[in-house]
Amino acid sequence: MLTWTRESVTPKRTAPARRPPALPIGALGLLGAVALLALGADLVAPGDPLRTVGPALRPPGPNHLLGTDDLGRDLLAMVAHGARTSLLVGAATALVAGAVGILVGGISGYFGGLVDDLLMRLTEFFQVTPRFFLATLAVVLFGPKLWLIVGVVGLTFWPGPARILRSRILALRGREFVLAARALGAPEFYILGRHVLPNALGPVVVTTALQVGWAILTEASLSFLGLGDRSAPSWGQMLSNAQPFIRTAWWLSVFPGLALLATVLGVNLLADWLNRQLDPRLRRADPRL
Amino acid sequence: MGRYLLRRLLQVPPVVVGLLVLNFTLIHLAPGDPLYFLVGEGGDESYYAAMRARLGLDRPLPEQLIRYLAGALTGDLGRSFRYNEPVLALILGRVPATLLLSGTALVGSTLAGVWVGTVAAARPGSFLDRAADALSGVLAAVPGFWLGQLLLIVFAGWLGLFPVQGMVSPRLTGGGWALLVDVAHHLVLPAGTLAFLQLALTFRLTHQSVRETLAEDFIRTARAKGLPPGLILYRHALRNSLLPVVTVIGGHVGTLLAGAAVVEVVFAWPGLGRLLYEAVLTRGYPVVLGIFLVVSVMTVFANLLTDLAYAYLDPRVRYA
Repeated sequence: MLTWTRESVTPKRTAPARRPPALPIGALGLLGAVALLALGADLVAPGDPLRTVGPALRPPGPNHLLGTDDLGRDLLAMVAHGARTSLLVGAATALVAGAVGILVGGISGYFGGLVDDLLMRLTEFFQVTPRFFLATLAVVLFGPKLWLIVGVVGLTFWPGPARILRSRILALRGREFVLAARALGAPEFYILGRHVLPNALGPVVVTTALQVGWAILTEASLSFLGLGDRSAPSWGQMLSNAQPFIRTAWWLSVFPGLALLATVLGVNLLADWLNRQLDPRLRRADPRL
Repeated sequence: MGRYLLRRLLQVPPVVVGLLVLNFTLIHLAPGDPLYFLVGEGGDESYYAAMRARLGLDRPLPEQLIRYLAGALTGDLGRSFRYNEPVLALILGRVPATLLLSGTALVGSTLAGVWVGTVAAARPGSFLDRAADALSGVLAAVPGFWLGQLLLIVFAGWLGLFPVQGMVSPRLTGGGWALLVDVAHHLVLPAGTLAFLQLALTFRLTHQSVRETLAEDFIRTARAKGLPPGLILYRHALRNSLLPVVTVIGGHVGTLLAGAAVVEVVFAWPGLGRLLYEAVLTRGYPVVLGIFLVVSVMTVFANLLTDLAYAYLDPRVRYA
């Protein structure tokens, strides 16, 4: 299909040509540091990070680099082990959201008709429901287990990838190579999996990557409300525990929050870079779609 | 406009029913007796027996669903033992505080975000453009409750400029002007936190939109006519850039309210988020269910208002 856009004939006066985006060193640095922390958690802080190791509420010092909390637990150990939880949640959530989104968007876009109508109404419904409150409700009803939190948060994020994939497939469906495959007698699912999906997946990957940061923040918010998995140390829970000591022990709040910020920033920068690689117009996709 | 309004209004009831069906499904899928989710914990045997019969929990599922829908649609969301109040009244009593907080943050962030976004878009590559872009990237990655805690530590703790918690000073006597000033004083930090979070979105949208508009033909015409740059930017470019900004912000009311919820917990602001937190800690299932419902309906209406505003401002939508 030919499209004609105004930009193609009007020279852009306001947008100067930018250098091609370099490898995102900042993003990789931030993510690399967090990943190292997660991998080396047992070296930095061997043993159970949730055990008492010293006096309570000590400020950062030589014995405990980041200080201790109200139960005398070492903050560095908890921050390091919390990195595992956050990275796991981010990656697993994206997989769930991506898988469900690809399934729904793929079926909807390729088959069209009544199936498409129904699935799109469902997608719109889940897009208007406030996802954070839905996740809270589900975790309250089903109990705070890590795999459940991942599933629930992932399930609230699928409409974004589903809609993007659907619109990509709609654009590809009538193209010659698809018609050719069908004329040669290829079965529908083969055409979808072999010819359509590989050409449509790029933007879906970007959307999903942009959601990883949101997923990590959502899990942290749930933990902050007391809905985290108690058996896994997490930054959100640490920030929740810090709340009563906010005026007396600043370190309880500052370090887990910095770790969270570094992780989400790293993920977002990387996703942004991916997005720019794929979209020559440098248009930023909205991560909250 | 009338027909568009009608068509759009007719889309609301199915969504509300859908939300109730979703609630019902979750209640029955969750492990445990649906009775406790519907009624809450803390009653005695005879009360539970009476409620089980009244809710029809011994009847087939479709009948239970119909009873649940009928109850919820007439405003019966159960009773809270902890507060000894009907759940709906309890929740609606907290809505004004949340609206004050999120409304203030929304107005503040929209004014600031649109202004900075416009100025930055007019000077691509300038220091302001780069700084605002970088800052909005960082803000988009900041956990809201953590930002609130930091502001608390610095401005309420170290500097002692603002109260630490709540909406009104406990020892405040008298109303009127003194009350207004006191609430405003309490509002600064939580509303500021929420506004900062929202600012990233507003800035990016405006920045993008104004830049695209500035590349259009009519802007070139305006320049060729010799109009002053300020007039072109604010009268021509900004006006034509605002529609998408308004729509996207209107569509993100759910995110705003989610941000408000955690910020309320940090500042003990007596709104929906604080109530949700208390209900989560005390397993007040009916309250959590009710808050999900009320917040969902609020976002549905926010979307409706946004669409109507869009249709009013841009006639092409109405006739599409």
